[in-house]
Amino acid sequence: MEGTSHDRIAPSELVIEGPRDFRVDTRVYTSPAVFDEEMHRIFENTWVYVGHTGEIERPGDFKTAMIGRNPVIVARAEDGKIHVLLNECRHRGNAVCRESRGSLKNFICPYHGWVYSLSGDLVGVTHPKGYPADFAEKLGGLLKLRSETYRGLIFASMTDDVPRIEDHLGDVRKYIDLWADLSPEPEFKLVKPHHYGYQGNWKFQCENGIDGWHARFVHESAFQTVAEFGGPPTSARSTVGCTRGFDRGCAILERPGISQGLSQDQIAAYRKLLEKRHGAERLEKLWYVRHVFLFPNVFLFDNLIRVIQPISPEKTIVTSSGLMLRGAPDDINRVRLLEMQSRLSTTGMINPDDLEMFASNQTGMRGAKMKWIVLSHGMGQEENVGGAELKGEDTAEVPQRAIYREWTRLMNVADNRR
Amino acid sequence: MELLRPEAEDFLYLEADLLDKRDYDAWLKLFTRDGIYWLPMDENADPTLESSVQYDDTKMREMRVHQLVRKYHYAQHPPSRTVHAVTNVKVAPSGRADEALVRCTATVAEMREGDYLQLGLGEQRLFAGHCEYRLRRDAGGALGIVLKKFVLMNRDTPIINLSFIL
Repeated sequence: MEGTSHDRIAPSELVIEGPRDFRVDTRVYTSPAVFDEEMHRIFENTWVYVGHTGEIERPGDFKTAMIGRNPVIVARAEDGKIHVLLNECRHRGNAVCRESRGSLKNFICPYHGWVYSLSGDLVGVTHPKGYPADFAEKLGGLLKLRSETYRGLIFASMTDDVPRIEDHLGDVRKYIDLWADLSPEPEFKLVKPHHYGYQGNWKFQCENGIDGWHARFVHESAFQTVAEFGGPPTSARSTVGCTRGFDRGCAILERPGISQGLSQDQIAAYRKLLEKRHGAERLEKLWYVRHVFLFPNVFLFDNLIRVIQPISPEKTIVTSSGLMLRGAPDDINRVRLLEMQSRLSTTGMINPDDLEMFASNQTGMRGAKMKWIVLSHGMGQEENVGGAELKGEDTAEVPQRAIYREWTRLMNVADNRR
Repeated sequence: MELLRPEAEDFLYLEADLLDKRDYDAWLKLFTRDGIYWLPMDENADPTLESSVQYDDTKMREMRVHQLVRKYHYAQHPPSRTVHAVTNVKVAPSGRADEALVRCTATVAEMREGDYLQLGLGEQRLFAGHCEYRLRRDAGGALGIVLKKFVLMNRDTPIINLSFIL
């Protein structure tokens, strides 16, 4: 959207950082103009998560996704290579793929019958005599996006002007390895996703998944219920965890120990599988619940991948795919699935209370007189643990500050729209 | 197991009433000890190895009710009002001497109470689906739910706030 200078609010007005001060203008959550800018400047200028290799395991498999507002297809071609394609016929713009997942030999546009291969090449135009002989070759097929995969995670970028994914991920990469190594055999298997949403801005979910401060308040009803039915006492949900912030808006909330509802015997069996693969020393590094946030749109938890899809300033959809362990017995995966589903899904005991917070956040944000929200908790108390990695207490807003620093960087990117 | 349509209907209407009155402790008692409450995404999938919208055994149902009734569950404060309508009730062959199979259509209108000018409150929504109940009689002849399966029309699309009981 081409804003005039009085439409566009400068990013420097929206995020203010001082020595122990970090404030964000509430218009980042409410303004349609800011939302439009985000969909372009953020989602079209960096690596965005579009799927996991476990969702398209065989040649011919595909799934659809959105990069901001751009509909894309993620497909595995006959040769096994993965392609991310704009879901838009080169003729008159029709979305050639209308299913969210499936398996096909090629994509056929329903409008005038043009055919594209799984790698996006324009295989055939119907009634070709109406065009010069080299028309199809010159026009090209479905627009291919630059796409790279890391530990099963498929990323795509609307711009070619991004570093290799490993370089983009930088210091957070070793934590992605720790996450991925939780599957005894790489990579995780995915079950069908849970779909839910909320009436609030997409960034509320980004800020919440790596927020260690809210859980003891918002999720008290869930934690107490679990404890009263024989689970770990609520005091065990302690403050021994930490937060981490990285470049490129990445962040982590971490606490030691993994339970996933498993019995003591099952935990021992799982740990034995991991130790066999990774050794005793690395096992101890793996054995954490880590919520890893990769800006702008994906969370990696020990038991699910959660994708955030902005719809409008006040509406967001979340797609949450449970992770099953490859190389673990069914009884372990059964317990993990039901534990994840009963806590963190469409009907979970835990996450609907977050979604309720987001709706009431969004309601409150409509109060225009309150200009700023405050994200300075733990500022000046962080530890620089190497590279760009900052570490704080679990209640520190280290992750949220990392998010808004990257948000500011991308919102300042030159407008390269036509 | 012998079950005629009027008795099946009366049982389903009783369940609907208890849910609309939010008498969840009484609703729990309608299930057998091995009873399952299932909102599938895929009816043909194994719900212990594949995702469902919800798949609750007795303990999970009791935990949900505990969180709803005896704890401050923010997603249900203010609470949902519901109106359950049960129609198209048919008793079908169950394939088991100790169970009856009842199919029906259910529509549930739902609305959160509270300040309707605020987001997430005061909006009327409709949930709809086909249900299948497997019922068993106890020693006294009373019906109990072995399986309640509610196949929601919108089961594989985003649902905002499904923290009440359908």
